[in-house]
Amino acid sequence: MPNPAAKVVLVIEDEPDIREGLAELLSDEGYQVRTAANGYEALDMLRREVPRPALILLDLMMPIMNGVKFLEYLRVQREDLTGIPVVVLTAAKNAELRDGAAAGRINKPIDIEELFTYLKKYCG
Amino acid sequence: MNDPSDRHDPFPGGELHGPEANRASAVLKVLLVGVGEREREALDAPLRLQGIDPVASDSCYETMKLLHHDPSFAVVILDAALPAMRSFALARLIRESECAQQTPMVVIVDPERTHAVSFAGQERAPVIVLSRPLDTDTAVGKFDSLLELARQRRLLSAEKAERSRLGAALRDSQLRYELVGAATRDAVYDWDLLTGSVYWNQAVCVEYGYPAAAMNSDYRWWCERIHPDDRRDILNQIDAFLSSHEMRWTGEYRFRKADGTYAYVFDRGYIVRDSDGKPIRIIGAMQDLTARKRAEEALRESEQHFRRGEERLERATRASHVGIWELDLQTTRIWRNEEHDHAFGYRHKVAEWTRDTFFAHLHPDDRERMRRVDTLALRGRDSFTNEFRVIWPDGSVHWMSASGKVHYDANHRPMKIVGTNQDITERKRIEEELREAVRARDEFLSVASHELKTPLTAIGLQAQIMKRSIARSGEASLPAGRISKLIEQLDRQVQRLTRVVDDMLDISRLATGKLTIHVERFDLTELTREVVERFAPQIAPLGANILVETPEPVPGCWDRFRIEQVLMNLLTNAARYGEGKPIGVSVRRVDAHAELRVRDYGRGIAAENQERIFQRFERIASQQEPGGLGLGLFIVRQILHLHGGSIRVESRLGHGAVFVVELPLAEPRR
Repeated sequence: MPNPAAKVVLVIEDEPDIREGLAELLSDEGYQVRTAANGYEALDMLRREVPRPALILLDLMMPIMNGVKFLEYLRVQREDLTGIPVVVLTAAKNAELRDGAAAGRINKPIDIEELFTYLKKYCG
Repeated sequence: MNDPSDRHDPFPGGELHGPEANRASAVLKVLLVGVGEREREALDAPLRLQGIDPVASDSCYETMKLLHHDPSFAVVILDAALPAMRSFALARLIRESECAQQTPMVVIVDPERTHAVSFAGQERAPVIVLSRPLDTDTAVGKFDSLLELARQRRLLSAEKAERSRLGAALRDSQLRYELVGAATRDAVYDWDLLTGSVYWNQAVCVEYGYPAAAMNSDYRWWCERIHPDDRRDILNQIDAFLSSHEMRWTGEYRFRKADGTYAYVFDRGYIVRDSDGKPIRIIGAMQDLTARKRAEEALRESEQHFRRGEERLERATRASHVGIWELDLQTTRIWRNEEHDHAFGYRHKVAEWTRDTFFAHLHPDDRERMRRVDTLALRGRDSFTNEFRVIWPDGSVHWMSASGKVHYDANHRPMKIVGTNQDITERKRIEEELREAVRARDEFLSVASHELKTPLTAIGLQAQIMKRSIARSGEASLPAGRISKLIEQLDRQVQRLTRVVDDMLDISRLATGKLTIHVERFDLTELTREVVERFAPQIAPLGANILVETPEPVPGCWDRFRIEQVLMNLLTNAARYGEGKPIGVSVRRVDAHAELRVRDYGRGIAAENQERIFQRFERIASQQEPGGLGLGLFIVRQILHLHGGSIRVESRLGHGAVFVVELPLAEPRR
């Protein structure tokens, strides 16, 4: 049962097992989770859907619209969307990411404690 | 003694001619002073017997003049009845004279007029008195004894003169040897072949360090000092010369000095022979060539060294295609070797090259940069190396590397630039290839890391989910459906990991030539259907379906496992790049081949990439997109090659792609 008061987390990840795994894990912790398989899908969702997510978990390597492109697009969206903190999930050690483009970065395989630290920080 | 042949003997003192007596008698003369007609007739016969043609004189003055100028008068015959003078006064004059005081005299007297026949000086030479009328027999006896006496005396004095002449000549020749030695520093020698003694000048002491005693030595002294390696040869040469009719001998050998070192000597000898041609002396000189030899040697060595150096440089520049040039900053002319022009694309050296020629050959995009470099070089930077492009006469663009060093005059004004140039197009290409290989490898590592980490991330998450659920509400609280879903996910990710690791192992096997195939007979149509059946559910979530067209069984001999791998790879690619549109697979027989086609309707592959995708580590997708290891098609092609088959792609951008595999039906002959 979704808790209407729960904070919304948006997971953008093309790999279904990771996407669903994250969704399940966060739901179990009481978050409201939305998922998207690529940046394009996520932007579409953000424009249409309310409520606004408290945090976005973003994979970088994705087809159609990758993480870096998504961040560029997000910055030029409605004001309420541009402020959403984004934590990047990446398997690449040296992903090309501009400074300040993301609120944080988690290397894959994911360290769960690190993930929860970000969740607590941005979702209370 | 005044024989003209003597005067021309170049070696006085070496005279060993035969007895002198004959020659002495040949010049005996008799002077008849005031002898009358009758007495002359009486003397004529005995004198002629001795071969003497008498000389007549009628006056005192004439007699003294003759005797004074000609010392060869053996006897003076004086007639006491000489009218115009007093014969005894003349006799006394003769006896007291220097020229004829020892010449025997015969005085013819009249018996009826008695004279005391005595005068001072008579003891120096005999005076014989003959009475008129002269008796021929008595005269003959007297004359014979007088002439014999004259002969003896003449011989004696000739020997004496010869001895003194020889002594003087010897002194002269020795002096000459010394002078020659002093002038030339040659060791002059005089080798008496009859006695074996050798006279040396002082040079043998001065130049070769021997004590004065060496100046009068034995020929063995000399022999012993010839270098053992040269000795036999030199002695043989001399022997050969002595037994020939040659007069001059030359030889070069090493001669030991007093300090034990060897001097290179040049020896010239003149062989003196007697009238029978028998060698009796060798006069010669030994010249020390050591310094010259050394200088020659050094010169030869340095020449050789220089030549070798030049040859080496020439060979090196040819082998390495290094051009050498020298720019005269005054004339802006450039001297250069052939390789220099080769690097600019000329088969042969062109007539002239200047700084302008150089700039004219530069690629327009590099011209300005090189002009700046040119200015900089002259402004104090001594040496430089630059890489730039040049345009060859055939229009092709080549990379060149040029290094140079500026040379200045005494006033620090730049005079010339000397340097090298080289075509580095090939090097650039290899560098580019290497850079590309490194880039591909780095990208592969990054992709491999992504491909390994993605399943690990999924597995990690699933483990966390279970762990947290159990922690929250105990093992029993996990719903059965959820557990089986997690296990299914785990299984899928493990398979995925296995595939990545297998690919990497295959690559390693291919690189080391260890990938082998094990053929068996099977139906490709059947295998294709099986694989598609297994694969279809995996791509169902993408919304794509697979259309299979297999009109006939196509049996052949192949490696079942590897062909399955080929199919999986092609289907995975088609699904990955097919954008969810249908995928077509067909198998049919074409001549002696099996033909497998896998078609997608995705974005397609640009013509320039159609070969590249079969290379190792190559993917068309950018790094920001998932695209697998980039090994799939490389491995596929290698597997097909091992079967004697092939793969190619037919595609246009935006119109999908068809991968066409051809496999021979018969077992590959290997």
